[in-house]
Amino acid sequence: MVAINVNPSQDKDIPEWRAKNKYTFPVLVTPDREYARTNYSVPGTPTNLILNSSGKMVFRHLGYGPGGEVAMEAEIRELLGLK
Amino acid sequence: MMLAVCATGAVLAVAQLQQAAMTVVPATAAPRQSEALKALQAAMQEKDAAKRVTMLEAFIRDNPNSSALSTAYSFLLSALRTTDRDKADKLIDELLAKYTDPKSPIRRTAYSSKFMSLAAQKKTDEIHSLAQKVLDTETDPSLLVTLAMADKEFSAKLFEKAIAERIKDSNATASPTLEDLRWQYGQNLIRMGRKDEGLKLSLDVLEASKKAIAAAQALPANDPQKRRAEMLRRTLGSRYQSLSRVMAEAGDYPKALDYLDLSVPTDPMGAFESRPSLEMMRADIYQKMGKPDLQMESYTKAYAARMDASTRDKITDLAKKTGSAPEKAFARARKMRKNSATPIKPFELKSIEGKVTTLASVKSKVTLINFFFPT
Repeated sequence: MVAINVNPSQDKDIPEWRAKNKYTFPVLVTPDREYARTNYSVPGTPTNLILNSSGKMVFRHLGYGPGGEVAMEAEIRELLGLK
Repeated sequence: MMLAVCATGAVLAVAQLQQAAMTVVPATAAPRQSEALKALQAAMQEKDAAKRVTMLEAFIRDNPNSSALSTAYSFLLSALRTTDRDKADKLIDELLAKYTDPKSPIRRTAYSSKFMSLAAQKKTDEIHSLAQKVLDTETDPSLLVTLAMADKEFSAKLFEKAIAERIKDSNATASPTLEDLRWQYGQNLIRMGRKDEGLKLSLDVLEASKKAIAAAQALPANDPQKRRAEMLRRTLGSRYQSLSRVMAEAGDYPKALDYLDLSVPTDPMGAFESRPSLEMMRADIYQKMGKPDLQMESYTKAYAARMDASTRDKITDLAKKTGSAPEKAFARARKMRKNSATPIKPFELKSIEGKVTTLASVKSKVTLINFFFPT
C-alpha cells in the first residue's frame, strides 16, 4: 500500500505520526494542497482507492463508514484471490 | 497493516478523547487555543449535567475571546435547561443584552435556546410573541432561519424575511447562501405538508444551482464564485437524494428513481464513489415497488462496488426469499467488478525519504492507495 499526504504543510509531522503508530508503509508527499483534488477528484480524507494487479481502480471509498474496514479487507482479499 | 490504517481515524479519535479528558488546564496561565479546545471537548462530553455546567462555565471564564464561545454557550444553556431553568433564562437575557450585533452567533444561540426553553414548557403564546419580535427586529439570515425551524406558525414568514435579507446583503462568501436558504425553506414547506410548493421551490433551487455551476466553469480556481459553485456541486447529489426520499415516501416511485439518477455526480470519480450508496437506495425503492429482481440487481451492483457485509447479508436474505442462489449474485458482482475496473491517472511522487514512486512501480500488485493527512 501507499499513503499519500494531501496537505504539504503537514509533511513535517509525518515521521512522528508514522513512528507513533508504528506504520511501515511508504508515505508519498504532494506538491500542493490542490494536487489530490485536481488529479484524483479527492474531496476529503480519507479517500481510499484499491487497485487490482493490472493497476486499475476497482474500489474507491470516501470517509469512514460503519464496517468500512471489514469491507476493505474483503475487497483486498477478493482481489488477491484469497477467501 | 492495511487494516490498522483503515481504523486510524477511529483509533485516533478515541486517543484524542482520552487525552482531552486527562488534560488539566492551569487556571492561572492563559491556555493555548488547542488546549482550550480540548477542555471544551471534554466539557461537552461530560455525562453529568452539573459537572458539565461547571466545566463549561470555566471554559467561558478562561477563554472570553474563543471562536468556540457560542458553541460553549449553546451547550451550557442546554445543560442549564435541565439543571437550573431560572439560571438559564437569566443567562439568555444577559447574553441578548450584551451581544447586540445582529450577526453575533452568541445572540443566535441565546434566541434559539430561549425558544427551546419555551417549547419545553409548552408556552405557545410566548413562543409566538417572541417569533413576532424576532421577525420585527432581527435581520441576520442565520438567526431568522434558526428560529424558523423552532416555530412552525411563523416559519414561513421568518424564512421569507431571511431570504429577503440575504438578497439585500448578498455576496459570494455570505453564509448561508441564498440557495441554502431557499433550499431549507423548500424542505420546510415539504415537512409542513405543503409538498407541492416545497417541491417546486426545491427543484427551482437545484436548476439555479446547475446554472450557477455551469456559469462558473470558465472562472479561475481561486475565484470566490468558482469556490461557491464547487460547494454547490457537492450539495446537488444529496439534495436530489432528499427529493427522491420525499417521492418514495409519497409512493411516487418512478419520480423517486428519476431523482436518484439526477443525483449521480457529473465527475467520473465522484460517480464511481457514489455507486454503492446509490444502488442501496435504488434497492429500497424496488423493494417498495415489489420488484425483487431489480432489487437484487441493485444489491449486486452495490456489492460489486463495495463489499459490505450488510449488503452480502441482504443478498443472501433476498435470495432465500425468492428461491434463487446467492452465489449467482456474488459471481455477477465479480464480473461487474472486472468490467468496471478503471485506469487512474499515472502519478510520480516522492516519498518522505525522497524515493520516487510511480503508478507503474506498484502496478503489478494489488495496491491500496490511501489519501490522508497526519492527525
